Amino acid sequence: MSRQAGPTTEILLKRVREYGGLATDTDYAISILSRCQRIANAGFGFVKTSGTLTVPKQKLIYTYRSEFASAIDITSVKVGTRRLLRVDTLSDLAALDIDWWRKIDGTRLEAFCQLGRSLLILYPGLASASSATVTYTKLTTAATSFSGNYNDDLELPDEQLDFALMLAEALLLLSSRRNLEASKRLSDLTEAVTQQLNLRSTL
Amino acid sequence: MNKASVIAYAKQLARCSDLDDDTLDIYYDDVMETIAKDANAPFMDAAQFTITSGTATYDYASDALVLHAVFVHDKILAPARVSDLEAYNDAWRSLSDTPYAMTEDELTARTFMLIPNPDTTSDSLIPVHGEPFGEDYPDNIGVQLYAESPDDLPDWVSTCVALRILALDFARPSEYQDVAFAEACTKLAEVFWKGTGL
Repeated sequence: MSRQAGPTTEILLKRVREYGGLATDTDYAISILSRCQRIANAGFGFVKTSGTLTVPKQKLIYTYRSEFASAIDITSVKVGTRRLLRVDTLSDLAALDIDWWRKIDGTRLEAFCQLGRSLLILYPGLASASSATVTYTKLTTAATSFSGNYNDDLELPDEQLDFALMLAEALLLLSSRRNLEASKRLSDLTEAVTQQLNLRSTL
Repeated sequence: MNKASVIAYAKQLARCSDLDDDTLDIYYDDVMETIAKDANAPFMDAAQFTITSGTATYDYASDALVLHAVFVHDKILAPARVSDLEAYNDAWRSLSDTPYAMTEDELTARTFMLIPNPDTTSDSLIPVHGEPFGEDYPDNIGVQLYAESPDDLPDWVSTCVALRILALDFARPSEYQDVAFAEACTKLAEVFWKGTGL
């Protein structure tokens, strides 16, 4: 279940005690909420999607942001139902195969490595072209206009929206130079981020 | 978001009309450089460079901020310190072979040296298949993996960058200096940075 952008923005404005957007323009508030839900999703991967990546012959390295424009963080790569091993660093790849960089006669993909939030390495390079299914945390849809996006559903699940609201609330308070209130929200936020990170590490 | 959009966003967040675009522009570059130096640099790219036999020193790719790895043909080069190389062989600078290490020590900024001096020249890139890192990969080519400052900053990271810019600008002595605001921006940027999972 998800909430609509407009009513959620009204909740945000109530939380910062600016009912109806007295000192904060409603378009500004909805754009802040939109950015914050994107940040929340980038960090905690609440909303994911999948796409097919064409794997050309002999190619190991991909700029995945140009393959999947809305991709933030790759969570898995599969060939059919077979999941590739995830490795975190180039050293880990070297531990798999010291000659991994030009291993280009593979018969099937074995592992993937994400470098930063832009490069993807699929090991090994294949002797013939293939494809893989990439699952990634996606950039959620933006909302920029209070009236235009009022009825749009926010993509974050209902139970996770409060985290995005907390981020947005702190940002709006700071933007209004209510530094003291923003600082109080900050300690709540720090706790919420830690909680989310702990939850994620136990899953 | 391009640089101008992030700066406009920062100004919108600050709600202060006195901010100077040129100053924010410099702070933007500083912030992106700091992010690139992070071990978890989010924005990486790869670029090929042509190796010439007998030439040891090469430039960073034009958009590279921090070099993370260098490959020559099929091998990743080990980063080395000049002191280690001297301990290994006093005449290391005059050795010539297929490179196995690289160093940035004692060099002009944004350059690196292949060790030993390469004894072969890269083949030319002939783009038959449109895959420079696939079927068209030339023999003996060099590749740099580096952190960059993307022209198009993803929206999910722009808030962190905008807050860090404001933290720097409002902390410096100026007509609108506001240390409390700058500190709050720094703290919020940290939380947002963690929130993005970086």
